[in-house]
Amino acid sequence: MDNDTARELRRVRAVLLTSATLLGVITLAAFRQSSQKQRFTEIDVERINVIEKDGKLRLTISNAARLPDPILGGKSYPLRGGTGAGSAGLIFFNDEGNESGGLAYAGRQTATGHRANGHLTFDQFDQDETIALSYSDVEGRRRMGLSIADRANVPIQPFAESALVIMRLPDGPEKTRRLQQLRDSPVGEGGKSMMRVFVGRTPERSALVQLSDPTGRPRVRLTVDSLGAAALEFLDAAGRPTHRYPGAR
Amino acid sequence: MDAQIRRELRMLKGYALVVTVLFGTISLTAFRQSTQKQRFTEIDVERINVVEKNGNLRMVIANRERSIGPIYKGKPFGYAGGSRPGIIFFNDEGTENGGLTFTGQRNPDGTFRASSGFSFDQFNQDQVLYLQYNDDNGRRNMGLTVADRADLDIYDLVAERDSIRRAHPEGPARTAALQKWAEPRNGVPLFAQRVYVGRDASKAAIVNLSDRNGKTRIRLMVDSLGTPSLEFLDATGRVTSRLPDAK
Repeated sequence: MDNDTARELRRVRAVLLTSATLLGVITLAAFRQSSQKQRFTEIDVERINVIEKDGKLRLTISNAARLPDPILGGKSYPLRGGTGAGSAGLIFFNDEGNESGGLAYAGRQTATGHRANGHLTFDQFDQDETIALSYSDVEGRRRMGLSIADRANVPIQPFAESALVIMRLPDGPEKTRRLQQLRDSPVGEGGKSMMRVFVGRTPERSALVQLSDPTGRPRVRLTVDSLGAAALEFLDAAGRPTHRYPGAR
Repeated sequence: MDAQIRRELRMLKGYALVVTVLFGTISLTAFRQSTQKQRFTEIDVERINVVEKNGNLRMVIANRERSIGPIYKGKPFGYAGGSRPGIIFFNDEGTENGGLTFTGQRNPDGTFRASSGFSFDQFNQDQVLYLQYNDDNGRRNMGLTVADRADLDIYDLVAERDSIRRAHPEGPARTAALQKWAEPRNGVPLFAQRVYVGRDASKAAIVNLSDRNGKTRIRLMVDSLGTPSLEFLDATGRVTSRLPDAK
């Protein structure tokens, strides 16, 4: 081989070595990048899972389609309903990976008008929501305020398990009967919510501060109703007003 | 050198050049990409820092382990991170000004602890508006609190407290110094609850309005037995009027 050829070959070898090194660096960077700190100016994403090191969910931020179903004991329960169905937002999970609250929003036109909802909720441990700051709106019938509820002192999971079976039935009288039966059963206790405090504006357009007893019956009510009438009322356990202020003159 | 080898070499040179340019371009793109807008379907992450252009923290979204401790003008103070999974907010100066956190776990002995909170801090101070659920194995309170905080910088207050802890070993001298530290300054308490709406640990549904010293002066309540009342109290906590009237 002459000198020229040898030199050329050395050059080609050098270039190829450089590109191979470059490839190695890129490959390494690509794999490291995914588990290291990265900087973005802006990202578009359908769902972010904030996870603990062991993979347990801590927080999801998602669009409506990817919003996770309630998770209890590692199992999903597709039982979200009401005006909150179809919400997008944040779902919180506790140290055990069970859902413990959320911050979610929904709103859409319907054939008859609209449905909208926004809420921040905190769940009692192993239970359902105990604090809710919420706005719900069905065809302009609105309710917004702060609600605080007592939940049962037992986990909600057995109730959710039974409800899941019933919810799979076709809509109709049988389903309604089975749901009522579940609510009246001992397991049904786990699904109960006893409203204790409401501060807000009701669908009847009253501004209201209402405190209730541990079984959820309103016992004192501070109201300015839709006509502007102001009152403080005390009620008995049967719901009868016992005292009303200001007194009649 | 014969023509064949020469041709082969030219081809190799061409190939090497093309490949190198290609890799160069890919590398550049890969590094540039990270600062451009990107789209993902789903990502798993342990912590997200939302930062201003200059790198100042605006919001930290994190799991428990990577959660951030208190930050004052960009500097950590108070206690270390690792206990506040959720979201922590920062103001324009990089000082913490609120949070949304949630924890809850069962202990090996079967008891549990849980707490969730959404809070807003007074400027350079601590929380003055918060929605909170606290649960110590069934002894719980949940409600909305509004509070006054003294017009004192939280950084200085914490520094004062920490220097007391450094100066005195655990014992009566430290307790006395810390009590003095927690006392009102020029008659203004460090913390005074002004409004509480919620369900307290005694299982009462309650609305409390309090004076600037944090003393409850109006209390609307339905207690754990279901008894409703509206009480007016004086500054010492004595009930001066009560509704409904006795009949």
